[in-house]
This record gives sequence, structure tokens and C-alpha cells, in this order.
Amino acid sequence: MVTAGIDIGHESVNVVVLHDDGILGHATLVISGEVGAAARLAFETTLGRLGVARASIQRIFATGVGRENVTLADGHRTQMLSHARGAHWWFPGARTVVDVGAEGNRVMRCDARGSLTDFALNDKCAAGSGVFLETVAGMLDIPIADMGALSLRGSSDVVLTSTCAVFAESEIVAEIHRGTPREDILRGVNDSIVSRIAATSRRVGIEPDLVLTGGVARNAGIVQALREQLEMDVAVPEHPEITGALGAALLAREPAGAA
Amino acid sequence: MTAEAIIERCRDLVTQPLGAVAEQWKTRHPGGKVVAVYPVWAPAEVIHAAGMLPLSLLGGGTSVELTHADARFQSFVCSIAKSTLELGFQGLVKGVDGFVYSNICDVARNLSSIYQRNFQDVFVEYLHLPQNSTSPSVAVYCASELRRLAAGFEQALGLGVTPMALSKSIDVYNALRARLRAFYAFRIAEPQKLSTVDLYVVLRAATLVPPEEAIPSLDTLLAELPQRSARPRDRLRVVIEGAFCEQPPIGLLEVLEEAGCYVVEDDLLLGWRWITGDVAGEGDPYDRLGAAYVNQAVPSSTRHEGREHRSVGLIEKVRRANAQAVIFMPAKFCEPALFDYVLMRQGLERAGIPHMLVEFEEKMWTFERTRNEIETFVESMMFD
Repeated sequence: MVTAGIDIGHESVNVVVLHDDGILGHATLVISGEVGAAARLAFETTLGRLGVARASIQRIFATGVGRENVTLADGHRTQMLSHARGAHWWFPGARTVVDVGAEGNRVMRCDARGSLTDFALNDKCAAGSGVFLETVAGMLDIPIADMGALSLRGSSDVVLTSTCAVFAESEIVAEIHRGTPREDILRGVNDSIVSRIAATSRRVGIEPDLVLTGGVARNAGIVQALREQLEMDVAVPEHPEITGALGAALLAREPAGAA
Repeated sequence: MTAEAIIERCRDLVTQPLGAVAEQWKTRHPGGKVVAVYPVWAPAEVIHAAGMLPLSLLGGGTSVELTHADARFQSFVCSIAKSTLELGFQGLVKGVDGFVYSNICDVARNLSSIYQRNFQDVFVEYLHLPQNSTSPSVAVYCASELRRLAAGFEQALGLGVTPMALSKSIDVYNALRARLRAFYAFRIAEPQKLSTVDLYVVLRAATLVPPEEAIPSLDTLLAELPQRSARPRDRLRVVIEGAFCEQPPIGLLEVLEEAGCYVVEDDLLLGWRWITGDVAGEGDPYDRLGAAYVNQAVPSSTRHEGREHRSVGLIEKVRRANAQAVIFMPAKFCEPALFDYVLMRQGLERAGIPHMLVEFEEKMWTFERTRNEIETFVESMMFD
């Protein structure tokens, strides 16, 4: 059976095409304009790259923030169910899944079958989100891709608030004015974001194995900070940003998955 | 009148300021007095027996901006207390002659005093309802509080309550509560034909008109509802618990249903359904009403119930309504609801009943995060 999952994020859309032997292909596109059109473009681009005809996809499920607007999908599921399924597919031992997306973080608990048993969302504005990291990258004039490696070289001298992204930005400006090294500021930023994630995680309880999904999982500094604060190993999928789309494609395979 | 027309009329009524509702009634009843009662329970029967109109006092909802009350309450106080005070400052309860508060929480207790201090031209009474359920003298004490309230009405508003009038009012409110129970039973049986939003506006409207006017409309509606055509859908049957004082915005109730739930039981406007059957017994009506408050009451977070664990009543409600899950829906900063949440959660987990927590404020206007959480909860039960 060939299925597809489309994950609409605040900033990007991810598509996964799945067949019985695994992932056939995937793509990530930055969203511009209306969500339904962006999803269609991403989907068609993915099929074009793979050389797969639309007719060969038996079922398409959408997930993410604009999932109801993806008219080409046969059904939709929430991000949390999709991320739990996707993470469990990557790591069957996963019992806690942390997804850090552009606009927030969410923590899911799942059982041995990958079924969702509990969940929590962050409730403090943009603190603990990918957008905050992007803002910091702009403030420090650092490419996002370099942030993780740089932060690993920083000291833990900088302590930033974890409850409000706006206040944290003010504190970062103060650190810049003081001449604090960028590495140290980045380390402080990561610690701040992760303490927010850890707080959300503790609301549902944390049980190993813990999997980190979402684009922010590519930031090695965040992964390291999460390991330290939760005192637990953190598994990261090969393509963490497509976990939601993968989960949606997996859910589209399930018999109970009516639209 | 069709069911849709009755519900539309109710929807219109519940959006009107309380003062306007009072004034409209007074136009039809020259010289009449109106008394508004703060949640959870107050003896509407006593107010009615004095010839006055009892109204539910439920804060400002989504429409009132706080421009005075924030300066008089701490930031950690619930919204209904602030907006109820704001109604007074903005003149939105002008036409209401009396206010009755009771000891449901510290905030309500102090709200009563603040009202007395700020609005000295209206009658404000504070009822000390019994918290002890097990003492043999508790019903007697409750009756004495009701007598004190009636005496206060006579002294301040010049309208007395005779035992005969109170007995008649008890009969009228027994009849009203019987209709409300019928609506709830109908929704348990056929939730696809009566949405929670519709039931809520009907129930709330019934707290804004004399019971003698409400009952015929409710009877018409009860007769009409079974004729509605609606196909049952594959949805999660849930009980809402915790919204017994501050009321959630209608938008939140809509989101619950849109996200895949049938709400089959709730504790919205709980005080108006406080007594679970007809007020029992014969004899002195104050004694009967006092005993009913103690012995025929729904479980509530605003009254200590020493006779059984707090979760027992909730679990019974879940079973009776054939519900699959509970959505705890306390207002932000609602201490009674949040204290009991722990006890109820423990009980539900022992009974294997899934649950989730959704906090709200009456002025909440964006529901996307909540919709996402509820949809996830529904999916986790229906697709796993």
C-alpha cells in the first residue's frame, strides 16, 4: 500500500510518501501563501521528484496547523498523534516524544504500539519554540544551521528567562552590549528553550526512550541541553522534520483511519 | 413555535445585559423587584415567593471590558468575580434591586462585601450555606439561613414571604427542575438532536424569566426535539466537569462539539439543577428546602461532602450518561474546582475513565489551541 502524509507547519510543509518497504521519498518546502495551495505544490513536487503518479497513492492524510484546508487529502489527524506514530516508526522503543516546531513545543507519551496515551503543549508564548531560535540567529547574525555547533563551545554563564520570549530577547540584547561571547549567549538560549520543554515534559511524565522530533532537533546544542536537563539519552531521527508527515502517512494506512 | 425559534429566542435573551432583562420585566410588573443570585446555588424559591424575579448573575461573559474591577481585585482572581463587579460599575445591572452571594469560595465571599461597599443603594445579602453534610442539625441550620434571607428581603425591599407562598414556589421550581432533568435525559439518549450550545442557551434563558413563563416554552421544546432529524455520528461521549460557577464562552462549547465530542452531561449552571428531584417532605417549607439543599444535592466542589469520595458522584454521572471520558473544564483561578480536580482525577484513573483538562476564562476568544488538544484527545481514543 502506498500512502502519503502532508504536515503543514507554521513555516514549512513536509511531505512523505510511504510504501510497504519504508519511505519512498520526502520533501520540505517553505510555505508561502494559502496553506491548501502550498500543500498541493509540495505534494506535486514530491511526486515529480519521485516519478510517482498521483493515482498510485491510495490514501493521503494531512496533519499540522492547517490540516483541514488540505483539500487533496482524504483525511486529517492532529500533529500529536502523527508525531507519536512517526517517532515510534523510527524508534519502536519510543515512549516519550518531544516535538519542537516553529511556534511551540509539544510532548507526547505513547505505548509499545505507538498509541498516544497522554500529551501536553507549551503554554508560554514563543518561549521554547523554533521561531525564537530564528530570532536569536538574526540578532547574533549567525546562520541557523551553525547555532548548534557554536553553542556546544559556549559556557553556562548566561542564564536567560524561560517564560517569555520577548523578555529573553531583551536579556540577549543586554548580553550583546556587555560583550558576552556569542557561544555563551547561544548556550544560554538553548538552556532557556530546553527548560521550557522540560517543564512541558514533566507535566505528562518522562519515560525512556525519548525521541526529539521537528526541525529544531537538528540543533545539536538543543539536543545536548535536553540530555543534560532531563538526564536521559535523546534519540533524533534521521530526518526529524518529516516525523509528523511520516506519522500521517502511517495513520493513512490504518483501517480505522476514516476521513 | 418551532424548536429553532424557541432556541433562537433564548439565544437572544442570554445576550442581553442583566439590567435590561430586569427592566423589561419591571415594565410588565410595575413596582416589582428583581434579585440576582451569584453561583452556585441560591434559593430562587424564596425570592419568587416574595413576588420578586430571581435572575442568575453570571458575570460579564465575552462582552464586558474590565475598566474598574481590575483595580479592585488581584490578578489571580477568577474572571467572573471581576466582571460581576464591573457590571455594577458600568450600570449594566441597573434595575436589579438585590444581590445574593454565598460562601462558595473566598473570592465570592469578598465579592459580596465589595458589592455592599461600592453599591449602597441595592440590597446585598451573603448566605452562609452549610459546609458540613453529616451533622444532624445541618438542615435545620440551612433552613434558618433561608429564613434570615427572607427576613432581609422584607426589611430591605418590603416584600415578605409567607409559608404558603413559599410552598407554592417550591412546587413551581420542582416543575422547572423536572423539565431541566428531562432535557438532560434527552441529550443523553439522543445527543445528535440537542447540541450542548442549544441546551445551554435554553437553560440559561430559563434563569432569566419567571418559571411560570419558562415552563410552557420548555414543554413545547421538549415535544419538538424528538422530531428533529439528525444522524448519530461517531463521536466521543464526554462529561464536562468544573464549569459550575464561571461559565465558558459559547465558542468553547462549540469547539468541543466540532472537535468530535458529544457532551452528554455537564455541570453548567449547576445551581439551577442543584436539587436532584422534587423537594421532598411536607410541613414547614423552609425546613423542606433546607433539607433538600443538604440531602438532595448534586455533588459539588463548592460544598464539602463528607459522606463519600469526591470522585464517586462524577463516576456515577459518567456511567449514567454512558460517557467515555471526562473533560475537566475549570475556570482559571477557580480554587474549588482545581482543588477537587486532583481527587476526581485520582478516582477516574482508578476507574479507568480517560480524562483531560481544559482551563478557560469567560472572555476567552481564541480556541485553536484548545481545539487541537481536544481533537488529539478524541483521536487518541477513537483511532488507537
